[in-house]
Amino acid sequence: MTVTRPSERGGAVWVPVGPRDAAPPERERRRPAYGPWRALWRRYRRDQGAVVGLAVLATIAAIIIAAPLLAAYPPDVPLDIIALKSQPPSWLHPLGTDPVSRDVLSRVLYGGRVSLAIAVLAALTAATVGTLYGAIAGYAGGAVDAIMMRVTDACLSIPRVLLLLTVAALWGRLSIGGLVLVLGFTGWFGVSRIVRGEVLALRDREWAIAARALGAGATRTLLRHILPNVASPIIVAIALGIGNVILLEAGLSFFGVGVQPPQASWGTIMQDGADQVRALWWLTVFPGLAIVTTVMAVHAVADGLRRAADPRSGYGARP
Amino acid sequence: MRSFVVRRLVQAVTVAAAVTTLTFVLIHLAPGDPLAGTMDDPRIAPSVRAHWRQVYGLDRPLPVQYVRFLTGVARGDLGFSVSYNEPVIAVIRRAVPNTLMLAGTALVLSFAAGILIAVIQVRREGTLTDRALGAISLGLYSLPDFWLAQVALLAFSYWLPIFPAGGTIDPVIHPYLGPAAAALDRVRHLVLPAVTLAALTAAWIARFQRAALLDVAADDYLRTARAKGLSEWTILVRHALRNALLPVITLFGLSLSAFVSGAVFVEKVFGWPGIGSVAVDAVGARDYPVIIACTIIGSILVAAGSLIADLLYMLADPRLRRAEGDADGGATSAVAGA
Amino acid sequence: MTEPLLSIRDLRVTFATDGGVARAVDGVSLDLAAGEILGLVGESGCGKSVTAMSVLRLLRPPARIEPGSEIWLDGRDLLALPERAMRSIRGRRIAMVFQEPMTALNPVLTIGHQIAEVVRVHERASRGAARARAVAALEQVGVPDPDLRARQYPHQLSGGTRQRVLLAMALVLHPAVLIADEPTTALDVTVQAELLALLADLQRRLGMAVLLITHDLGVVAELASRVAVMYAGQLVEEAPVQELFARARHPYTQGLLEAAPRLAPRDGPHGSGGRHGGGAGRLRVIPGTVPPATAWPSGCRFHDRCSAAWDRCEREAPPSHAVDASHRARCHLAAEPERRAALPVALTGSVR
Repeated sequence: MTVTRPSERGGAVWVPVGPRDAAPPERERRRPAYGPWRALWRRYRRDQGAVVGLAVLATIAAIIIAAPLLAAYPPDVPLDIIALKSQPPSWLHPLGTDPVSRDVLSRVLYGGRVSLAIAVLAALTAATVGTLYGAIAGYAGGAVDAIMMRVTDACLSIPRVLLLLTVAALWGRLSIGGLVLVLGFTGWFGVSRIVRGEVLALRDREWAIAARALGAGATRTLLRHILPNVASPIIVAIALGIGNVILLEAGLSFFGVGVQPPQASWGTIMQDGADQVRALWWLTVFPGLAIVTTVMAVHAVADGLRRAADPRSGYGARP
Repeated sequence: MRSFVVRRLVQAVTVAAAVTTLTFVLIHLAPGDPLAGTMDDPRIAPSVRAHWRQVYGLDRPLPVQYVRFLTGVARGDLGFSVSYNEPVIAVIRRAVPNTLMLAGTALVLSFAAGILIAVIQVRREGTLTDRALGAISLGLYSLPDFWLAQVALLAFSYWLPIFPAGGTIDPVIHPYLGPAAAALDRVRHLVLPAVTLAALTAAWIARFQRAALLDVAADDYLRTARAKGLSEWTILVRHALRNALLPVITLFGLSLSAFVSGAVFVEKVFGWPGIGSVAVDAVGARDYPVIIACTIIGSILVAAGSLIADLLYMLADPRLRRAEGDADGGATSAVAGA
Repeated sequence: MTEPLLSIRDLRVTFATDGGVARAVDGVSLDLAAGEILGLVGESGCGKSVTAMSVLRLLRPPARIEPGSEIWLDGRDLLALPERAMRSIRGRRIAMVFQEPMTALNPVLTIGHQIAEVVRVHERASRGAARARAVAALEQVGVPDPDLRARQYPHQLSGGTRQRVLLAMALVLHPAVLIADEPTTALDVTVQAELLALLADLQRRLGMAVLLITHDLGVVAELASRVAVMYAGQLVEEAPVQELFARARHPYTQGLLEAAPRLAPRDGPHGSGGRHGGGAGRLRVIPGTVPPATAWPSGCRFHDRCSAAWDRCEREAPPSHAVDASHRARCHLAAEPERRAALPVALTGSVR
């Protein structure tokens, strides 16, 4: 219970306020101090759907991380092109085999690593680019902001799939890294709008002005003072971005322009069965279920985060 | 209002210019030049290649090429399609009406279904019905578009052969059908792709509409409506929904590009000859001018769609319309806030 | 008193909250006679709005009207009616005007539509006829140029006009009872005075009963013929307006009177024109605040803020004593004249 007052000599002097050595009230002392993250978690925990989503997501993550332990066969190697071609689910191959006799379960496990790695990295790339772009626009304001936002508005009008098809066609086959970059750089427009709006609203708050008044430069004010306050919408955007990229990657791979064979991803497994969906249904159904489960869990987590961070807001577009 | 329309039209032109510029940049960032795929064949004499590069202006400095490209697009000259062996604009002109037909039908269906689901959910808030519908929406919302299309095709065209498997018409019998039967044939072909696309979008709309309805649920004017003796349905539909529709229209305008992306997948799976199918086929054929044209046209469609959404918003919200005879000194200033 | 038009019997309303069950209204009985204006006053949180909302059954969960409560109108218990029958009462027999004219009107519907809607749901009126009734109602509440106004949207009107629109909406079917919940609180003082005059005028012309809910004793002095004072979910005093202002018996009422500026009932409750200027003397405030509805104090709920309280007040909840035929007070003092006589002048009820 002390406050700091500047003394005439410039140094800080601790001036006790209130009764000397007064112990804090019993209740206050026993309650553990918790910051905004704990508060967020406490609100998040109340949301049943969000907790289930998080648990499902954690399970999926654990399974695909342990893929080498769980997969009985190598994912990319044909086992027996004559005898084990296109086998329906059986004890030995619970999810069947594909037209070149690879074990689908092993491919789904390893493919999950590829699909999720791409999704997480691309969503992080998008969030980083979008945050920087939006923060600069919002902090600069004025004409710079207007021009930068016109550009994002224009980019938001481009159907992402068509843009991705253009890139894929121009570059031919993309490496996984290339795919991450392309998906990341076509996914940041929405994030930049959110961050720009928040920064614009926050940059003139008293504490931001105080930070500047104390000599913090623009970069420092932005990075240390303003952006931490925008953290929760950015996290929600990353979560939604992960869900979207999983769906997009699957779609692109399904069109043959995403992950390239023989590398397995959830999309490429489905593409292997696309010509004969009726006969080889297991190639479509099982990776599809993996995608739906994962994306549903991601959306449940994103919803829970949003509600926990801002109980009054309701939305989040599918970019 | 007119200045608003002008501003939005300018914005639509900006979109077109930005997309064109972006694709130009992409073309030149990509390895090789646009003729690399078709011309860099050792069997073609270097002089012939140089000739064609000159014809396409690829030997000029980049800024000149850029201006040529821009003016070409503005004139509707989108290049020549190698795979179709005709001008790209002809290919696009055939595809756009099909895309509009599919997207328009799906939009109407999805709004109708999405709003209906949301209204039912809110009317039964917290019940099993609400939660079940919520879970179904979340599930649909989490489905890969092409996967749902495939399953729909499998279910209603192979297992239960109710609908045709693809295309816009039956190529064999359509020419011999009378006008009514021909129309029915078109509808039969439209149902599956339109419902598939609508289902994905309806899930999205239902989620937002529900949130928006719950957002206005505590508003005072609903209490006034209750005090007037209106039934809960009337209150929900006439009073709450009218207000809750506004944010959904805005958000929809913002996510039209996602809708078109979904249409690409659905068109491809159902063999619906719209710009999505054309674009995907062009990727396989390495027919760049066609893909680029599809991207540009797709973006312009989205920009036009969001312009329409904005106009609808203005129609739906009287606060944004110009006040007539505002003798009461009311909040005309609110109009300026638009 | 004659047979009451609206009769509230032992109304109890609870809210389930995180902090326990809040007994927002706890055994209120109140009669409203045809053609009278009854003022219901009290600080915020005392349960007066909840009482009003209960009459129209507009409360939503977690609020709950406890079984045993009754509200009688036209020989029927409104609380026992099916929802459908209750709907035909709302807006037709009992209408309500709310506090916030800015938000109580639907922003996307025209004024005319919103008024005509009342006619159309209760009577088989054609669109045109309902519309004409709406315009007539606007005219009745003194909205100039009612034809134009009917075509306008709420945002095009000023706060005072919006409140008139709400009044028109409430009165279009000539209800027997009007409940006005702080109808002028959100408005400028001059607009307030105009609206109060209008309300008094309309009440007289239409002969309806008005339940006027307010925290402003000045408004009560100007309009009401009878006053009921609420504190902590209960009625603490009830009397004709002159009697209450002259001889308030409950220390809470006395506190309210002392805390309010410019108080003196006028010659008659239905006068017009401005209020009397405030008398001399310093304003006093009642110490403390209304306790939370989850934890009303034991005994008399006012005892911890009451300067006249003694140990009995803490122990024993006072019943509602009849001071005379029309005056009741929920205070032990009403039954102990000796103790009352011993109190300082300020607490004996002769305020100024």
